[in-house]
Amino acid sequence: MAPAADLDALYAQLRRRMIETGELDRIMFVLSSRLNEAGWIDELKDHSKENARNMESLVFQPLFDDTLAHAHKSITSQTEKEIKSVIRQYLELQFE
Amino acid sequence: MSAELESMCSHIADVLADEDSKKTILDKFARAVTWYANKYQVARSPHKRRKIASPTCGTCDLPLFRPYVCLHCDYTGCWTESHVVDHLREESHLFCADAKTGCVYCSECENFIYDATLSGLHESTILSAEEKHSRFQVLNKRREPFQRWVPSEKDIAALEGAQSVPCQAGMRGLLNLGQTCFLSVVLQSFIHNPFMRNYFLGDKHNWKQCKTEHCTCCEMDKLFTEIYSDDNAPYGPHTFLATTWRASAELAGYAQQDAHEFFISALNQIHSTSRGSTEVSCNCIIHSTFAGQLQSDVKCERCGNVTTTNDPMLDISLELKGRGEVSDENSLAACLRRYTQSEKLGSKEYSCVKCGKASHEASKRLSIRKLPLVLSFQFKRFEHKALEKSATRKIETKIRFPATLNMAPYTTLYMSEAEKEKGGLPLSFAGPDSIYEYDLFAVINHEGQMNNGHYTNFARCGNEWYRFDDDKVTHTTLGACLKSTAYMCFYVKRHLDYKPNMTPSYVRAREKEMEKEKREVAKLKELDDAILATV
Repeated sequence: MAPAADLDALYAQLRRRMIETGELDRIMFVLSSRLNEAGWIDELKDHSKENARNMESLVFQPLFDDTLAHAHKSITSQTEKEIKSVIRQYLELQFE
Repeated sequence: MSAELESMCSHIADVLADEDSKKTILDKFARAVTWYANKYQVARSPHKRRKIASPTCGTCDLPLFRPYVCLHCDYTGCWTESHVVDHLREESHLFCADAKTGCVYCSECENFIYDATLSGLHESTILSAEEKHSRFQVLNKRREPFQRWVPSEKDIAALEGAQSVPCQAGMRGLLNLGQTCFLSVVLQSFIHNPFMRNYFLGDKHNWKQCKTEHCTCCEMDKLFTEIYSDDNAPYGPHTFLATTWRASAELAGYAQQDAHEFFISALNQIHSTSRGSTEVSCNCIIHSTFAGQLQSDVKCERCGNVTTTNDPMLDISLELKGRGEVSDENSLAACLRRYTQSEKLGSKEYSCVKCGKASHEASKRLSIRKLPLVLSFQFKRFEHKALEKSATRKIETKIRFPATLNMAPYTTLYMSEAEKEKGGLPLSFAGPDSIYEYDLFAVINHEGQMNNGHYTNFARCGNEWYRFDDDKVTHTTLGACLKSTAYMCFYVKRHLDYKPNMTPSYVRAREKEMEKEKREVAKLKELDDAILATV
């Protein structure tokens, strides 16, 4: 197992490559169209909007915390699996 | 506009009141937003393979995918670890902006803020970035630059004299006149259609001046007058119903009718009673709102010859698949994929012009060549069995439909690009994303069976959703609307189409003609001079 510092450096390097080549934009495009088709985006929007409507004082951070928790909980395992495999495929190409 | 709407944060208002600091903040903001918009466009075109610069977080040094930009110094940072917020606090800087959305955070308010100046600047910056990156298929022209509407003195006077519309306007229930819920729901979908609303409220068809008998356009005008009047009590569209009966024999009488049938018949009637309506390339309110074009490509599997035909369309009817609960097969996107899928034709349906013989194998594929401003979908819920009209069965399958819909994958342009890319995602097709995006604004539902059922609908007013059940109107949520079993749903294009930035052909023709005339006049003069000289 590599030391944590090496892993961090590797992560930063891969992340930079994904951003600079536009790969992350492409993955995001696939992800958002899947999430929209699965109804996840609309459900999250509705959830956070109705939540905001009922908040006594509308402040970003608590609304964000709640939305984030709900977002993670409501993602379907199928979408998660699919996107993870897209990322894995990309990573495997990088290490060839 | 009231002061409240201009800005909800006193800190930004103070900073923008000073000319120098205003310039610094706005410049920085515009630069950040432009950078992101350009980056996004570059990332979308894989052919260019240009490297995308990525700023790093000033705190943790990681490359940023979605940078937050300090509007006071050169710092960029990430949101999730609250690095950017810490930066603002430590340096006593006030604002940072999300380069992606243009949302601005104020560290004094500890909240995201709204400011009209920033919001306007964001919109115009994105627009000019999009204008720079969209090329037309024809002549590789850029799009026509956006010009803001500047009201003339006459417009200003008219605006000052105008009565403002009450905020709850357009939310009037319609009385059931005896099994007329099919009429109520379709009329509600018209009332909440922004193009039809603007047309009739814009006094484009005044029923007091129209001489046509049994005119459906006049009925629409009367309907809008009633809906936008001060009266909130449910309205009975008697005259609309009577005109419908006169115009369409099948819909006459008190029997339960199909909302989709009525929708199509109403579109035809409004079209035919519009001033200047024609049978081909009509630009009446109905055709400019609903008309799109379908392309059908029939390919002979023997010689590969493709025959292409284009047909006008006013709406799209989609087949349902399977039974029971929502599945991935029963989403609007899945229906549209099936709709635009290549299908085998029977051997008798097609004979190839090229190889001459009646082809054994041919396939047909539909795609949308021109997207309309308003997309109406019908889900085929009523199955007509055999020849008996009474033997109709209803399919109760739920369909998942989104609040925003990107139509790009179903267009002719995208599909032919996808074929070239061989299974890859074509991200480089013409134009920015935003011109393919549609927002849901109305949904029609049918409860019960074919002959004893009841129609209700949902409609959006601004960002709020309402449910209409004949005369009853109730406030509801997007969630409730999306959970309903839709029979028809209506989407409106988020950005209107634009033309390529070019001089129209008739102007060019006239210029040419004038030049020719000039040359002829000069020639005549020369001739005259020559004759005069000889005299």
